[in-house]
Amino acid sequence: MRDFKLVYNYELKQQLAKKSVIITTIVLVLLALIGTSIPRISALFSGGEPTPPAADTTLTEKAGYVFSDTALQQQYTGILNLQQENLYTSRDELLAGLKDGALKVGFVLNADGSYETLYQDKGVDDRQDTTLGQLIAQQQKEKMLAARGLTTQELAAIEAYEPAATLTVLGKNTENNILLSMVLMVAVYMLVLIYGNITSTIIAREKDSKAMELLITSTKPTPLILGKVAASGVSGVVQFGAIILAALAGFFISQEYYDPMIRHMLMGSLSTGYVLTYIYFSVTGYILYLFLYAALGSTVSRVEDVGSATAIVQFIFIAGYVASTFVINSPNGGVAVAASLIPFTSIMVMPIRAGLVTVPAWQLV
Amino acid sequence: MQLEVRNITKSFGDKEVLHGVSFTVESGRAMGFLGRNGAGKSTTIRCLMDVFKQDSGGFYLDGKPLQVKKYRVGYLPEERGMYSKHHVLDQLVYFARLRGASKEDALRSANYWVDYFELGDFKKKKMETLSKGNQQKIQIAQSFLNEPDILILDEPFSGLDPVNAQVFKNAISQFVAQGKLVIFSSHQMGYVEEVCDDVTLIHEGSIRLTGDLQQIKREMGENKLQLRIEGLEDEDLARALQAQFPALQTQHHEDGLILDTQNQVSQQQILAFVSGQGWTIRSFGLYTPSLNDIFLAKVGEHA
Repeated sequence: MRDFKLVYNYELKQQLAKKSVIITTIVLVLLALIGTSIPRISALFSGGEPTPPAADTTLTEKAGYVFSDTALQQQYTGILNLQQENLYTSRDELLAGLKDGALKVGFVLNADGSYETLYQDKGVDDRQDTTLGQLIAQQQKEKMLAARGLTTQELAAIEAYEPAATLTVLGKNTENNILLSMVLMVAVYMLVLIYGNITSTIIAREKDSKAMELLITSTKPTPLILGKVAASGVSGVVQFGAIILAALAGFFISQEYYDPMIRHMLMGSLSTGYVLTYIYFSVTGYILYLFLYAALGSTVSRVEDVGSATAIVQFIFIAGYVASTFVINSPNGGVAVAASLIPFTSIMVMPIRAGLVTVPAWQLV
Repeated sequence: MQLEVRNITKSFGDKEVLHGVSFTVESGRAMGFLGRNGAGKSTTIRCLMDVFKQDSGGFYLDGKPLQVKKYRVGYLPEERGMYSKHHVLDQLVYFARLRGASKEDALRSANYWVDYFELGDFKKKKMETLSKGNQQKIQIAQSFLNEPDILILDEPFSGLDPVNAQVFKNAISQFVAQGKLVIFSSHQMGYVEEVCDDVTLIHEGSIRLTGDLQQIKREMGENKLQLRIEGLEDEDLARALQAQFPALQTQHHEDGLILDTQNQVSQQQILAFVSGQGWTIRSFGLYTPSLNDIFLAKVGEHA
């Protein structure tokens, strides 16, 4: 135990003291903090208060109108707040205005609700034709409703009717939990791949630098390998934990600026049971993979051979990742259940299943 | 203490590289372990240090099987291995603590040996920033940590300049004087001859020679004389002497012709013959072989 602590403390200190680790961690922490604070930052730039949508000037700015009759012209002049420069007498006049650049868009409106839109050049963002179409449709609907003795508000009230509904979910609401499960799955995926590779590189470097011979003649191999893997694992958790904490801090600081649906989906399944399941399977799986990476790292004598040596374990892990995507679609399907019981894939699959459905206790043990 | 290496065999694949290696080392006497490249020195040392297991045979300390991790053993591997990116003092303290020292003792021992090799300014430097020679001194310093009872050094002189080699020899002499058990391998016969009381010579995985160096020199120099005549080539001298004394065997040497009298020709007879020829003697005396002569005689004839 003494030697394990010695190896662990020394390796952890050396790893966390590396400039590359410190700089990378600081950069990633800042990125996580800034990334999750973007809704608040955007609000700062917009004065902190939700701004009313800007008045739509696309139908009046450099827009010309020709109406089939005076009554129609009066009706739309009020609705669209048209000025004298928006009013033209003929379609040809509109075409001339478009050609010489005085107009960007021209409209010919008829009393029956039909209309024509004229562009010199139509850009991707030029949607004046559909915007006016919606406005005309609204006007026409109001006319039809008035003919039937109804107002728009009365129609809206009818359309707003919803039956009184009560939702009772005995297990888990997949809809709520899916986003958080995906986020956590990606977090574990990155943690294992990044720190697994770092672990195998550390082990291979001992042989490459010939330090291994000194080490194994100074202490027993068991505390040596356990100490190194533990230090590498904890170093990964510390670095990754700092990033996650920064992301959470950013989220909680800015949560009122998030879309309520996203907020609900991220926080919806944060039950104690789910967190414990996630931690248990992630930690044990992480340890399993670190030892696999360490074992494979010990089979090579040069750091540059680590990639080829660890290909097999990466393949297995990525297979687990792919299996976890099946889980989202069918959390209680055969593939999902089998993958959540196999140690190599359960790290990814079981936390997601636990987030989406109620997993029988015997499968969790 | 007496360390006995008993009948060690070791194979890699189908090739047996150690064929029943046996010798003994006494504490208070430095033992030079000599051999050509690939003779089996490092393999024997690695078996001794439990880096890998021998196929048969064993290592015994005072008659009991040696468990190397239960003793304070200072080890300098042939392939130097310390952390290039770590600070010098940090890793020395780490290695000392792994070998059982308390934090305070480890720090004291590491500081002592770094200062001994006049590398105090480099304690907080990364290993990779030191020159090759200074890195070698740090490597040696790590093997001296914790006042080891047994010192096993594989090619310790490699990379040391004469001044540092002298500093190292002084340290070895101190360990020997303190009754420590010291083994080191080397190709540099001059250094070994200066420091070692005993030598063991291994060739192609078999021990060719082992024992007290002075005794070996005496035995190999027995009945041998060394003669050089002014103005006469050694070949001509050898022909003249063998014509006069057929039992006499001669051997060329850089310091003069070596005459093996086979205990049949006396010094007086040779001197009388030389005087009778009217030759002027440049040097004449008993021949004591150097370690290099012994090495060449024992290994060269099997090469």
